[in-house]
Amino acid sequence: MKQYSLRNRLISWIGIPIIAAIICALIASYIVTKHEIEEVYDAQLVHSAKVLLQLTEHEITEDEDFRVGLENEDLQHRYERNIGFRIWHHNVLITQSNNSMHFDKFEAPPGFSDQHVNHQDWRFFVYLSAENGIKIEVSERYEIRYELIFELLTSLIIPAFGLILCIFIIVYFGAKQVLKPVVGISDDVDSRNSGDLSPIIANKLPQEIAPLIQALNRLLKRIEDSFKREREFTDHAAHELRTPLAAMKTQTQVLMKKYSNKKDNRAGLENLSASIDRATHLVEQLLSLARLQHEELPKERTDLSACLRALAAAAGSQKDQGNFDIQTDIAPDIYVMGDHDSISIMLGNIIDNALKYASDKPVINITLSSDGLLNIIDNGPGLSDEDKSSVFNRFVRADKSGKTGSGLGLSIAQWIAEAHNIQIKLHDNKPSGLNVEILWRTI
Amino acid sequence: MRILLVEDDTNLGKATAEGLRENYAVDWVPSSEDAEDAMATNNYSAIILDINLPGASGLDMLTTLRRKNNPIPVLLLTARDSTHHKIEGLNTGADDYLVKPFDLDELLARCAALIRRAGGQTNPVIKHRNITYEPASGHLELDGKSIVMSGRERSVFNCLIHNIDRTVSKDKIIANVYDWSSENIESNTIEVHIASLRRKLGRDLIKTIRGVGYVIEK
Repeated sequence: MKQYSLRNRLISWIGIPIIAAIICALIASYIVTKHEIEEVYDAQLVHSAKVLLQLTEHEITEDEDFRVGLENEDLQHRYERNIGFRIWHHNVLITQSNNSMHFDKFEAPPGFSDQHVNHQDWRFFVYLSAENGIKIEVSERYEIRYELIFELLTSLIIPAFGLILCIFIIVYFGAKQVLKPVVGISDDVDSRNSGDLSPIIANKLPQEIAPLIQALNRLLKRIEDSFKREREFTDHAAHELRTPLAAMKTQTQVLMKKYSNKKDNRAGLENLSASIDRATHLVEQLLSLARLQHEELPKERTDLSACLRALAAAAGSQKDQGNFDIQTDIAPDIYVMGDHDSISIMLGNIIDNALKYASDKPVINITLSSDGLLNIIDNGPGLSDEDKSSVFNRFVRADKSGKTGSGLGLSIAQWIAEAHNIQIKLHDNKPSGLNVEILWRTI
Repeated sequence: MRILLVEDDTNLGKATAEGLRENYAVDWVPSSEDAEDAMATNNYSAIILDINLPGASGLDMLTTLRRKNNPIPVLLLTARDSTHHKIEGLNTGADDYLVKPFDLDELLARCAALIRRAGGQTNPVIKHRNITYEPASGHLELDGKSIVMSGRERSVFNCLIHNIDRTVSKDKIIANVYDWSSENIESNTIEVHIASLRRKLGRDLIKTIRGVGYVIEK
């Protein structure tokens, strides 16, 4: 599934066009500003030339020895060194400003011109007064214009960048705020346990995601309905299967009471009874598997030691078919979090399994250490590595010796273990047998 | 002892009734409505009640019974073994609970226990003079020697020993011994069983109160 962030999308869809627009605005203002500044400064150059002409025209034509004292040291501006003038009369340089001295022999053409003199860019305006032979040249360094343009643009760019930053922050937190209901709903769904299929309830729902939530709720309802139907089916199946089994069992027992005096009858009826018990066991296992898979197991403080002792005692009391030897070393007061009934089913199935496949003189060792390590060891033939991995699959029976079993017991045990987040490990026991190891998290 | 069995499955009902007849007179009905009718005309020592019945469920019937303050012992039979079903059944007013498929001997033992406790008796063994009797198994000893009784004899004896020191009418004995499945109740059958019991247990244990019935005196 390709994932993308709505927030990032929002940021890029809102942020990038705004940045582009701001950059365009900056470029436009640069062009306009430059043009306007050139016009203003050019006009000033022309004006200066005119003023100079007006001021000096008379004196120049009257007096040969003319000087303009513009170099007053008390009246100086730092920009002044970037401005200069020269005046000629009949091609003889009459006067010039200090700043123009380094122009030396260079003469700009009449009118406006841009010149590169002594590694500096200058703007020149040369005015020729044809009637009295005066030539006035005013010059100004381009640096002044550049500086002004730069300062003007800087005063635009800095707030523009501030604006961009603000927009990003606003969109980031705005998107976070807008998406809050979505995050809230996903947290709500995340925090549910697997059996909770109640509809998602949101007090305030944005129009845009309301249809999604409604569709989700309809889906949840359908899933819940189908789970419910399945549970009802399991319940129904339990009744439908158990009742005829009960009828068979009771009828067989009635017959056994009536006709057990004949040896032939007795053997046949006992056989029948055993078959019914097997079918009953299989049905029970199937039902408990079906039920466990559709119910959330309650997690409560469970006395594992007591549970094991009870199971060991129960196993000991049903040992009517052989000489079982069940040895237990169970540390007292080991508590775990889990569902007592299902833990009991799980351990019961493992112990049953151990009893079933132990040798002719079965010895079962059940040990529970104080740190929660449980070992159930039998003295049977054990399992090959291949069988160890397949024995938890449904209807797989590793033993081919014809012992009765549903092939479901260990698969149920495994399922319960998974529901409790614990692992059933199978090891070889020396010299023979299987060691079922479970490490519990004690509380 | 007469027991009412309410079970809608024909095969299971038949088999269970047959198994129970070893110790009790059993009337078997397939629905709670029929059960109400049966209870209106007969006195039962206990009811064995299936939960899942057509029409009103076993639990509905039990609720009605207890609302009427009927203290009769009720054993629930059900195919549902989850803990909350058991709790629901017991909270509704059941005295005991068995999950199908059940063991017939266990059912008999539980019935005996229910009837015994309903009679205010906690000891499963009844001792009277030189007689020791276990109602659950029907085991009877006279001076430490085991006595074998036929099913009907046991029912008659059961009825008398549970009503010790009280005269039991012939009709009541008949009601406790013969259920609807019994055919041809001869008018003198009870006398035949009493005579047979007297042969086995001694002449003076069971006394005849003329025109009223029989009694085992304390």
